[in-house]
Amino acid sequence: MIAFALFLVLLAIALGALVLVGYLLAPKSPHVAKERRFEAGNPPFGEVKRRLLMQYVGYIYMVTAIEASAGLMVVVALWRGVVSLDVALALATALALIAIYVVRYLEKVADVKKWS
Amino acid sequence: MMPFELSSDLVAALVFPGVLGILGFLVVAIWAERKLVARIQWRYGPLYVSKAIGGFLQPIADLVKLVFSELVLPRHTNRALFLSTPLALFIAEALPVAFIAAAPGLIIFYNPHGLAIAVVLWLLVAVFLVGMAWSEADKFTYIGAMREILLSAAYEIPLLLSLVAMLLLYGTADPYRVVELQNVWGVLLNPLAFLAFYISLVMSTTRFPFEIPEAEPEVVLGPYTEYGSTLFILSFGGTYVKLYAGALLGSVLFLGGWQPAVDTLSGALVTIAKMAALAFPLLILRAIYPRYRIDQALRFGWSKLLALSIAAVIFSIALRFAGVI
Amino acid sequence: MTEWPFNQRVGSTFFIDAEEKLLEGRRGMVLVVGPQHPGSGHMRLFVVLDGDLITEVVPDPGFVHRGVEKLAENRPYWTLIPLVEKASIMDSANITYPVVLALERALGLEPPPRAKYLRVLMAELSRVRTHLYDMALLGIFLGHSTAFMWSFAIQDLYAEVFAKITGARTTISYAVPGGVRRDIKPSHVELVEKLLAKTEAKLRDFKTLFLDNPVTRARLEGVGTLDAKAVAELGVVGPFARASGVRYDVRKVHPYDAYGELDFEIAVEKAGDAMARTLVRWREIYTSIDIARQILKSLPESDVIDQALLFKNPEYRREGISGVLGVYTYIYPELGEYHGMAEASRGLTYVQLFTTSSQRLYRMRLVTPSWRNLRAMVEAMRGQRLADMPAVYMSFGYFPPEADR
Repeated sequence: MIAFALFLVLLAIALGALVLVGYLLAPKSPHVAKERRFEAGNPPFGEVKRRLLMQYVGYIYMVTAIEASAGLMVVVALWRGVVSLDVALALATALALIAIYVVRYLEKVADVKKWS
Repeated sequence: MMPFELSSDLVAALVFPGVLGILGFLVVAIWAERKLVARIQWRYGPLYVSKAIGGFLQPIADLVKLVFSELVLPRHTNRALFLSTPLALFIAEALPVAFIAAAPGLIIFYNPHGLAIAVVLWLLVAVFLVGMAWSEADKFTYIGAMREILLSAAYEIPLLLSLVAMLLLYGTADPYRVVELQNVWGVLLNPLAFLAFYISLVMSTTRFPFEIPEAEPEVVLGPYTEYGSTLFILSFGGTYVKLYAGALLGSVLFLGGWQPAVDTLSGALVTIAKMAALAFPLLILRAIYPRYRIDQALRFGWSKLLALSIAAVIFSIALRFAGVI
Repeated sequence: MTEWPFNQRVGSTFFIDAEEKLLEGRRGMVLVVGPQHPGSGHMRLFVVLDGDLITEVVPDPGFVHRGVEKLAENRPYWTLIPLVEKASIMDSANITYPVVLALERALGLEPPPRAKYLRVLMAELSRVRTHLYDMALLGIFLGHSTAFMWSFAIQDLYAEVFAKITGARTTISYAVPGGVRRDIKPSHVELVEKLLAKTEAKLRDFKTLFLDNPVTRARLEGVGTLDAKAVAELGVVGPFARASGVRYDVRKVHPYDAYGELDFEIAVEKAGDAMARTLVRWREIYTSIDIARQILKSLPESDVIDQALLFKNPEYRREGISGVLGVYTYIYPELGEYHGMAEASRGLTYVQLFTTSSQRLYRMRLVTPSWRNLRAMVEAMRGQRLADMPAVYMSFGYFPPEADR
């Protein structure tokens, strides 16, 4: 526990010191142009937060559904340390369901036209 | 011997796999990457600084150069967040290391479910990266952040399933037990799981061909676009820390950890060698592959990679029932 | 704190229309790519994005406009060649070709056969070099740094050979009205042969690693497809038109200099996507190597400058061009309108000269292939994903200085 705290604190101190040293040593000549948003050499323009890659939101949905079951599988695998028949059957069923679900909907999810 | 044994976790925190190991890996990996890739590309790579040792000090020179470049905090951002998120990201990327044993006694924080914790922490890194990109608040970082989220959607399930496959085989996530159980290395027991894990590692460290969030001709540097100076080191160097954590996890899960060594020092050396064997191919990938599009990466993750990882779990179950392990 | 130093008046480089105006009621956002962007080159693209899909691209070229046409109006005709070749430095032997052809018509000069062959030789070597250069940029735009480094490494050999033969690595100004600037020596012939063999040997590895790479194929195949009709309507020229099945090559249709006497096939692909545009140029590299070999084999023995240029001193023939350049000051073009047309690496290049009775031109019109292809490039980007933008960009080999002139 002490080692863990030490590890975190030391890492934070090392990184923080690096930034601080850089801040203290590096020259400073602030300029409006430097402190603006990077816009490929242009003055900042337009709104930033707009429809961002929404075409792929189907994948996000699949992850939210399947990741939880994958987490459950980790728990099951660690549960007793032995793979009994019921555990194996449950795992196989879950995997089969995932496979069917993905095979059934992957085309639909990957079709950008449907999502825009 | 006794005092050393007691403080071996402190040694782990300070030296290996802790702080010194991480920072040392940064230097070695960046140098090795530039050298190896240069060799493939009919070049010499860095030679200007310390020519006698093959330009090994070049990353350090770059570090010094970046420390002396102006630290610009853009006005449109939340400056406190802009400054602190790279730090948080770097530490988050180093966190999984704490739960993995690099040699007998050489573990920062022992927990009987350490490897599972490490994997979950590893998956949480994307949260910090996306947070960092959002605090930068510019179009390119937003697109980069979105791509990072999508890419993690492509590799998370296969990564978890490959972990499940190995945990089923070992029946435990204890960082010591897992190594002790590997009379036959995990990669030989279940090569499918190793392959799924390794490709997920490539994706999660955004190495080529999955270097999609920071694709230069499209989104400049993706989530790292706004950073310069020391903050750039922290944010961009973080990907190498992730590689370090991934290589450590991979060598423990699949390559038998510190086996065949039994004591701390030689065990650490063996682990380092195995980590290098896992990490270097990832460094060379840059010279071999261009990058996929995000939709292709997603499709790949959800078709071939997912099939591979499901097969790995089934294979593990079959192995358990066949009584191989 | 100093203020933002640039004015943002309408018409200034730093003036941009409001995002709403660019969006024109479409949803999404406008991503400004360039001029300071790793994927833009010397230009600016306003990319209207709907999520990951490109709905519209508004190009804003002109960042490297040099005013070649205007500059040409006020200088003697023999200085046109170094002026024009700066537009496309990699392709200097080809881009100056139409100027030289037009000037020859205006001056009534006819190059001797050896000069014709040598010009074609340099034009074809220059073509290989330009294609390699574009291939390199395509590689780095797809993230393949090895393709970039290898192409540039091979390409540099051409620079070395050009330096030995012409005295300049890149802007060689080799063809001049009535001949070529320097004769080729037997040692140079050997050098070029070695160069071609070396290129072929290196290109095999290049193909394995880059063109046959599954990831490259996934990135290029079916991306930015234009069919033959679209290509014809948009006025696409060169390998990019041939990639869509349009069989048009000035070297075949209106053979100039030695092209009529050489035996070669032009590369045509059907698919019309980014991969086809890359493959056509890839095959053209081999065609060019083949043409260069033919020339080296059947190089005629003769002068390299027209007899008409030797009236001041017949020794100029041996000394090369340094004396002949002076001779041009004695020659005046016929009053009239002349044109020249040649197949540059990136496509048809057209020059129209309006001469006066003095040695200065009234007007020069220079149509470069990149400019012709810009519209098509933008059309091909529409409907693709953001990640396809650089792939389509370099699949057209778009070179801003060449387009902006």
